[in-house]
Amino acid sequence: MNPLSLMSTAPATLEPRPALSLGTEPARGPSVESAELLHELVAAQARVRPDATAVGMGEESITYGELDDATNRLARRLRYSGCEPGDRVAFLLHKSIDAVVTIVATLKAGCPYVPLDPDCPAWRTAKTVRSADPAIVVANTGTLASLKALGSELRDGPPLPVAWMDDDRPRLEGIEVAFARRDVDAEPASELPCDRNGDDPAYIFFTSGSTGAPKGVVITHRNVLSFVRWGVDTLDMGPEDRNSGHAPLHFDLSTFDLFGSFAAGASVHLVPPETNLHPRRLADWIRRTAVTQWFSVPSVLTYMEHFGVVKERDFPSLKRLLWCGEVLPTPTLIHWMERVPHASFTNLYGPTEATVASSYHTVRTIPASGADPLPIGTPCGGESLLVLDDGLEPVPRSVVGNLYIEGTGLSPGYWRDAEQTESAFLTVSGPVGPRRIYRTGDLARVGDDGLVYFVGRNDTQVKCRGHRIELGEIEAALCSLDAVREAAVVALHEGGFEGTVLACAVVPAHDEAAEPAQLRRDLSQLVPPYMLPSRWRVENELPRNRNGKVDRRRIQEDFAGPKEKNP
Amino acid sequence: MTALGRGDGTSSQRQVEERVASIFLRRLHLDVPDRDTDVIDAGLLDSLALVQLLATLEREFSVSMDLENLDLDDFRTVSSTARFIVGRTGGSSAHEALGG
Repeated sequence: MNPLSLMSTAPATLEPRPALSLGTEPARGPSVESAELLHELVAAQARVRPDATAVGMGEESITYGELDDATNRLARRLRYSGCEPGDRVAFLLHKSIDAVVTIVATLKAGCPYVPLDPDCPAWRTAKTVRSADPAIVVANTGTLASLKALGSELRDGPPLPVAWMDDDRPRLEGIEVAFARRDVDAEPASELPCDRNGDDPAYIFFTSGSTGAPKGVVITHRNVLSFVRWGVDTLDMGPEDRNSGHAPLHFDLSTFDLFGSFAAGASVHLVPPETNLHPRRLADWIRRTAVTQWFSVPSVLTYMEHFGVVKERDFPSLKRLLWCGEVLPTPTLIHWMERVPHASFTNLYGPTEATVASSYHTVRTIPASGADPLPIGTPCGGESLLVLDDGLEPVPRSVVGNLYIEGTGLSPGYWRDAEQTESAFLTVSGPVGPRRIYRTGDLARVGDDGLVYFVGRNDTQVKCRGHRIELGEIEAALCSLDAVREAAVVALHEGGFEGTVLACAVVPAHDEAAEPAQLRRDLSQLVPPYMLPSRWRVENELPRNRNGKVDRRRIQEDFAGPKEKNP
Repeated sequence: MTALGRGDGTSSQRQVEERVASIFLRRLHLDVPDRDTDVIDAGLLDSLALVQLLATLEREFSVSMDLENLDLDDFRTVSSTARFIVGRTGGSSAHEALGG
């Protein structure tokens, strides 16, 4: 094998692989048979260890045997109510054991699942629902208010079929309850034949779209199984593991929490979302639940550091700490490594389009300086990282280029959007045939150590506390408000706890002064909470460069300077 | 509230509430409907806004926060936040703040 090859081959190992160049053979992945399906991981564990805990949350838990039975029942009921293989099943549920049952049952019914965020305004969720065009939406009492608002948004269309996971069926405008909990309980628990194959979609996750409409990323069973198999092997996960389930179920890292645990026969413990604002309760939860693996976005780690809740030699059960979704500040990593010396620390990197993560880096010794950058590392099994110039030629070491990903994690494309798929997923010719690569939009360089380093973005997509946000989506929503003539949203990189902060410069439509608090409130009806800018300026006009385009750098400088007025 | 054990407790609490409400509105750009609205349950306060709130309160009222032992439930409403501040300052900062 060419030592410069960026490709990685199974078996996975913790040794860093050399970085690659686009001239070598396409990457090979961990072996996943085309007939293998994601939900079979649950059935397989139910045969081997039916009484072992599969999922826990608070005082509740469910064993593999119970999970297998419950998901067989719901899969049968979904099928009976008309969900055909390939139909989408969306769910509007808070993170819960019921939500996990819904995910696995949906796959067993042969359908890809589409998670809906209950905290997202109905206006935006309705756009996702219209695009995903689900055969049914699963909901329960916990999300009644969100479902009601969604039904109201969709009232002009045909009624939305709903699977109601409680007994008292609601009567809501725009909603038609197809079945309720007791109908599911009446189904037999025997396995349902599923004629899908590994290249069929397992889920569609909708992410922020630059034009204002969320776009759906389609991920197959094989995409997830490849990553999961690599992850379980590389991280040495086993049945004794107790993994955290911190990410919301509409974040793709949640799929590793769930299916990684199911592949290993481990248990996954869902972190109650209400602990997120309470760092001390979060730390208590980790101690009490005795998780062996913690996987979250970096902002959770910086938040806990900020409040000083991690003690010396804390979390004695913890074996692995993983993070992905954005850059972890090195001082935060040092803080954690000093206090939890018995754990391993691994950075994962990768966009949803390439399934959970495409590269990783395990930090073995405490960085000497807080100024040392953390690499995104080397490719995960079956993946390649390519740093290319505008002509798709590899750039020399240390030179910044566009980061492309190739390999087993690559999505077949965006849901019902051939144009966007074509522009982001390129087919290029290689010596042994065509190769498919994904343009991440990230800028990167390969360091002298052969590791890949993330440098920034080449567009207006930002990461904010793990959320992937297209600034254009926020601007489009703002400009739809009557009070706004023009708006520009920029990201400020504040460092420390704040990380990336959204800031908005707005020109009001009318002469009367617009109040940021009111604009923010109106905007909260259109975009999810994490997209609401925290800093605002009301301007007479936006600064423009010589070409007449909005000068974003100038706006960033205006916010960054000491000019923000006190009230 | 006269739980402060001060004759002017009520007026201090009111003054601090106004100041806190102004911080929510003008510094955090949060439109809090009233002083007993639970800003966490209402989804108005996320971790970033909470950290900004604490830093702003420290600065504006010259109180120091012991982050490790803070009960974040103290900051769920404008009135509970004001109560926390009054408890720390005896209400003296309210007058300074109004003067400034």
